[in-house]
Formats: sequence, structure tokens, C-alpha cells
Amino acid sequence: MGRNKGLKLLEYALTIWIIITLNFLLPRFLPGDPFLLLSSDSPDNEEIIMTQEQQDYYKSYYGLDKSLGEQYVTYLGQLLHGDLGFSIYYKVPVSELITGRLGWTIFIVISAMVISTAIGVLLGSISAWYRDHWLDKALYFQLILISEIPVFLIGLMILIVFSAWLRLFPLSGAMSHFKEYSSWWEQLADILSHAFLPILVLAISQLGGMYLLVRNSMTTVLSKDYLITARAKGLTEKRVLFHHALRNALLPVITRIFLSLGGLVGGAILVENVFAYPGLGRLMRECIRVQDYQVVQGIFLVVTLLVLLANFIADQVYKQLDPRVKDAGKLREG
Amino acid sequence: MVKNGLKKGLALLLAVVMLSILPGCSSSTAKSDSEEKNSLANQKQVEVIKLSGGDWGYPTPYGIYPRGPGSRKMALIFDTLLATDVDGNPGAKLATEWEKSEDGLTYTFKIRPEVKWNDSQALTAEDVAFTYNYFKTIPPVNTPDFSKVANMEAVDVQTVKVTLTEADPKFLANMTSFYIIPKHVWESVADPVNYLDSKAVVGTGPYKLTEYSKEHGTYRYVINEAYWGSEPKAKELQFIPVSEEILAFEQGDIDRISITPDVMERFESDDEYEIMQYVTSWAYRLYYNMNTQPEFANVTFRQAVAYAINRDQLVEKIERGSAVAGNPGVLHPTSNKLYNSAVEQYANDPKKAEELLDSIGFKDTDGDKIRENASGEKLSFTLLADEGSTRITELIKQDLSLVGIDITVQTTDSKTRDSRFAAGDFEMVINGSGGGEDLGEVTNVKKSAKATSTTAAVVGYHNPQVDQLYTDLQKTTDPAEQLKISGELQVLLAQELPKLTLYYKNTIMVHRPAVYDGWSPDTYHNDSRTNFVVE
Repeated sequence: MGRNKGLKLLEYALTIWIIITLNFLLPRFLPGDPFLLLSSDSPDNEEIIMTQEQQDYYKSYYGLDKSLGEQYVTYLGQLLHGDLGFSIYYKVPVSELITGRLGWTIFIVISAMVISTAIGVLLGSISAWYRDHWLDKALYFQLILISEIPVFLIGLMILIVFSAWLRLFPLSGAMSHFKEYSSWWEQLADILSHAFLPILVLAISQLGGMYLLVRNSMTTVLSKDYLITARAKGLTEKRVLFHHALRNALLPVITRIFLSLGGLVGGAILVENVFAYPGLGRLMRECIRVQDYQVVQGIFLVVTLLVLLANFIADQVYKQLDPRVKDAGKLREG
Repeated sequence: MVKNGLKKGLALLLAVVMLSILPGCSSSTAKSDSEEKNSLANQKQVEVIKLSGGDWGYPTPYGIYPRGPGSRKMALIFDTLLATDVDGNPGAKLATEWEKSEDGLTYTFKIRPEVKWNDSQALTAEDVAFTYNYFKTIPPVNTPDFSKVANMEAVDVQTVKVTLTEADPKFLANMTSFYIIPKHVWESVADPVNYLDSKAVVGTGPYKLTEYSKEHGTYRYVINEAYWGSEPKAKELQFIPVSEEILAFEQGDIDRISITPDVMERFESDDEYEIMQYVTSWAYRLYYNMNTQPEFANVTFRQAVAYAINRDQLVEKIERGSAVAGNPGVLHPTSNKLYNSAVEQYANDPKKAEELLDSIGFKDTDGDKIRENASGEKLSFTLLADEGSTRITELIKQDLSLVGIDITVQTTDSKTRDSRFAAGDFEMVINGSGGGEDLGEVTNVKKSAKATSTTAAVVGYHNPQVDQLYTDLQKTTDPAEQLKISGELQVLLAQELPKLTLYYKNTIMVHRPAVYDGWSPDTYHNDSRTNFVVE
């Protein structure tokens, strides 16, 4: 057991190291550099152009003039101190930028995860129960359709329909600004009304996959012998479906929940930009635009480490839920 | 199979839905833009104006980000020593009068009396002297040009004496961007870049900052009751984050936006909205790499290209008329004072272009509609552009193929285009940029510290005559002389055509007159204080 654990930890450590290295290299492959400004996007954006001397000064100030190897070593050293670097554009420590926005992204990602799981499990179960019935066919078709549409397109459509046309929800932002709230309840309602559409869009993006998984998993479980026993015992359909079948079908779903985190974060980047939601996604886009390497690196790192953590938790949770896996491990050790 | 068909049908339905949303359904004839100048003085004061926000930094001279509208956010709170009037001449602001000594080395400014900082302390000459010394030690984001200033000191409470190292015709102009900060706040601040205290936004300007959020990108300004100038026409300014500007504007979340020409129809025929168009010096320009392509080094060739490319058509077809055709003499025809109209205009004339090409021996010898140069190589070039310029490249390709020049278009993202441009990895390239127009970009004269974004160097072009004229222009202080030399330079550049300005984009703004109608006709920036305060 000890050796197994040790190997597992080594695996994770190696993964983390590769992630850090890739994190470091990728932004530097972007064309141009933070100080190269020969054009501007439109008449609205005034740009301050630096002379060669100023560029050189800033490059050395941020350590960008050193060799790639040197920069890498400096970067590793900084990370060990928990220093994610300093933003060239925002002029504050990267960690400060990230902590300010991480909350919002986590909020919509977790909410979307919960909602897409809940709805996916419900619909998937129903579909599996009524397999090949018209209800199943209708659900299947609609959900496949939705999952094929890119998430930003769904976001735009929902924004237009629910915000612009129906005016049911605000167009953008995380909350109404400059408003006086008479109670915390009012403020909460405001935040929720702003978060509703982004969460909805994110949930839809993951719904298709979750639905299919549950449908398949449930179908497999429903064909098992122990369910015939359950029915024979005289249990209600609902109890058979949700209490017996679902519990067993949920194992791959649990894994999927944690694995979907990666997809959700990617979707969050697009959704945040459609709704001007002040999370990491919006920050990332801005920083890529101005090529603020430090922030881009910082965000990538934080996000990939979080996903890795989710992976790890998924591993542990699965082991707890399915004793067979734990035993299989023991067997291997022998 | 059925699923496939259904899927296609649904996709088609979606496409139709999307398309019908965007252009709008109005079909009435276009209304001409309002000619009357909005009179800010006559505007009634409104409670709140809401505009699109975004995080551009904490609005102190040190906190703003170098790119974007940060400096205008700061200008709402702080005042400069001198103002610029519409013609660009310095006028009174925090200084009411000034005197220049005979030898031009000493300036004496009288500071406006009774001006208070928004924390109720009085403004004195000490603040001006302090600001100069502080800025010299730690330069703010936008630092004025102090290179010729030796010293600034407060002679008495209302008088500042400035000593220069040499006479500087641009000195007064520099003072129009010299923002004054309070000594009693900043004298104890060692790290101004990270100084985000509420005292950092103590200024003498028309507004006070009451709220700012970095992650939401919001700003809230409230009238400064103690402001020394005329009362601002909006009691409160709110900058809020917006994802889709047009939707937000139509819903009334914000009060003014900029739009592109293709969206103009939506607002033109509706009385509820008013459109204002502004000329800008932001232009698309065509550059040649004269180092790698010897054909480009031939001035007749460049002239032929200028005759071949129909700039008016570019304006019509791409910008629907909301642009100004490029001037071969580089400077903007209406907005630049130094514009010389007596330059060769190269009105579209494909025949003339063909004649010119024939005259230098670039003829089509094998009948494939593409000319060959003197060595027999085809006149076939690559044109590098970013995604925003695709339509321009298509039209240019068409225009040039009519006269026998073959163009292959390479489209990349703007950063890649910039890198390749800077590295000289191109044959022809289209670049879009704006800012102050400085003819220096076609010279080999060393650039001054404050380069502008129209300064994309022309690769491989050397003309001592151009350099000489430019240097002379920089040295002259007499406006009549400046006009003359600049005029000559423009004529020469129009003959030489080291680069070709395609067109200058206009900026189109739309607002609701019923909500607020005091928008300045001189600048299109929503957050400029000239929109709210009569200066």
C-alpha cells in the first residue's frame, strides 16, 4: 500500500512539474511581446508607445531580457515562495489579481456543476427508464443538439433572448453597482439574478455529456439481476429506480463530475466574456490581449492545479464509494 | 438520416434568427447627421450619466494603466497648469496668467486664487513646485517633457517661477499636460505606484472619485462642490461593466456608445437617437519593404500603385462613407492644421497606372495578365494584414490585378502582423494605427522620446531631402515657417510615396438627446471632461 501511494504521489509531482514548465513556455510562444505596439485596435484605444530605451528598461525590470533558462529558474524559485509574479499591465502582484476574481469563477463553476449534474442525472435516469420510448428519443435528440452548439454561441443566444428581448435578467456584470441595499437578502438576490444566466449557460454546456453518461450507466445497471430481485420484492418503481439503480449507476458520474471541472473552467472563460462577469476568464482574455505573461502564467497554473486537485479528489472519492477498486489495489500488491 | 435533416433545419432556423436580430428592420431613408453643435453651456444639469466602464487603473497620475482611457479618468479629478483651447493654443487653467522673459529662459505663472483641493485645503504655488520635483524623481505614467526645465519654485503663495536650460517653443504646450497633485498628500508617499488610499484622488478638478473596483471595472464620480470652474452638467458619472454595448445602450444601461458604419442604419432614422461623427487620424496605411523587393524602391512603381488603388471606393464600400480617403501627403485633410492641399492627389486612374508601369519596363510579356519586371520576374507580391483588414486587402487585390500586379494576401492576427512588420518579414503590409501625426516616420531622423503610434518605420527608405526638411521643421518655432516647411515636406512625400495612407476612419457615436445632449463636438471620448464641464 505504501509503495502504491508513493508511486501515485510521484505521478502527481511529475504532472505538476510538467504543467509548470508548459505554463512557463506557452505564453512566451505568443507572437509579439508586451511592449511591441505598432498598431492599435481602433480609434478608441490610445496607446502610449515606448522608446527603445524605455522598452529595454522595462524588459530588464521584469527580467524579460534574461535567457529563457534563467527566467525559468527564477520562475521556479518564485513559485516555491508562493510568489506568482507581478503584473506588467495592472502593476499589482498576480496573486492579488487572482484572489480578487477567483471567487466569482468558482461560484459559477461549482453552481453550474451542481445544476448540470442534478438535471443530467434526473433526465438521464428518466431516459434510461423509458429507453427507446418516445420520451427517451425526444430527450436524447434535444440534448445531443444542445451539446453540439458551442458554449459561447449558447451564451450569446441566451443573452439576447432572456436579457435583451425579455429583459428578465441583467445584461452583464456580477451585481448592480452603486446601489444601496436595504438588506443582505436584497443584495444576495441581486447577485443571484446576475449569476443566473452565466450559470445556466455553463450548466447547459456540460449537460449533454452528463445526461449521456447517466443514461448509459443506468441502462447497464437496470439490466442487472439484482434489480429483478428488487422488483420481485415488490418495491415501487421509484424506489427501484432512484434508490437501487441510481446509487450504483452513480459511480462513473462521480468521476465525471470532477473531470468535468476542466471543461467547466474552459467554458467559464467564454461565458465570463459574453456576460462581462468579473472572474478569471475575463482577466485571462485581457492579459492575453496585452501579453501580460505573468498573469497568464499565474491563472493557467492556478486553474490547472485546481483541476489536478479535483482529479485527486475524484480518485479518493471513487475508492471510498467502490470498495472493489481499493481491493483491486491490494490484490495487485499481493 | 432524419436526425441529420432535422439538425440542419434547426441550424438554419438559428442562423435566420441570428441574422434577423442584428441589422434591425428599419427601411426608411437615412436622416442626415445633426449639424447643430450641442451647446454645453445651454445644457440642463442631469443627475446621472452612465457609461461603459472597464478597469483602466486607479485614476491617479501613477495608478492609471498606460493603455486606454486611464488618463481621461484621471483628468476628471485633477487639473493641469494650462488648458488647451480648440485651436491648440495654451489657455488659463490652474494658472491664470504667465509671462515669458526676453531670453525665453524664465516663465512666471500666476496661480488662480481661491482654488481648493477637494479635501478643502487651498491650492498654492507650493503644490506646483512640489509636483514638478516629485514627478522628476518618480515619473508618473504620462510625464510631461521636462527635459529643458531646470527648476520650478514657488516665489510666493500665488506665483511660480520656472527656469529653463534653453528656450523651448514647446514649453507652454507641455504645461497643458502637467497635472498638479497636492503636496500635503503626496509628500509623505514613498511608493506612489501602489498608493491606493482615498487621499490619492484628492484633486482640484470638477469631480471626486467615490467608488472604484478593479475586478468589476467600475468607477463612480460625484460633483466636486468646491470646484473653481463652471458647474459640471452631470451630478454623477457612473462607469459600469458592459458585455454587449449596443444591447446595453438600447436598454438604457448606458447613455452613449461608439458604433461601426454598418450598424448606423439602426439609429439613423430614429428620432430618439442622435449620431455624431468625428474625423480621426487613425488610418490604414500600406507599407512596402524596399529592402527585399527592389521594385518597391522605384518611385514610379509606387506612384502607379497609388493611381491603381481606388481609395474613395475603399471608403464607400468598407466604411459606408464614414471615413476620409487617404492623403498622399500623409497628414489628415481636415483635422491637421498643417495640411497642404496642393499635393498630388493620385485620383483613381488605372490607365495612368498602366502607363507608368509600361514606362519603367514592367510589361506583361507572356500574356498571363501579370506584368514582369526588368529581370523577367513576375510582379507577384504578398500582402500581410490582420483580420480587421481583410476587406481592404480584397479590394486592393482587385484594383492591382486590373493593372497587372498580382497580390497574395496573408492574414494573421494583429500581434503576429506587428511582429513580422517589426522584423521586416513581409513584402507589403497594411497597418492600422492612430495618434498624433508625425511626419518623422518616413525619415531616418532619431525619434523623440514621445513617439506616436503612427510611427511605424518605413523599411528601406532613405531620402536625405526628406530628413533635412523634417529636421528643419522640428527646429522652427514660427507658425508661418512651420506651415511652409511642412507644406514642402508633404509635397515631397506625395511625390515619393514611401507609404500610402489608404483612409482615415471616422468615429461614430450615438446617444439619446433626451437623456443628455452636452456631448463635445471636439472629441469623441465619452469620458473626457469637456463633455460635462464648460472650460
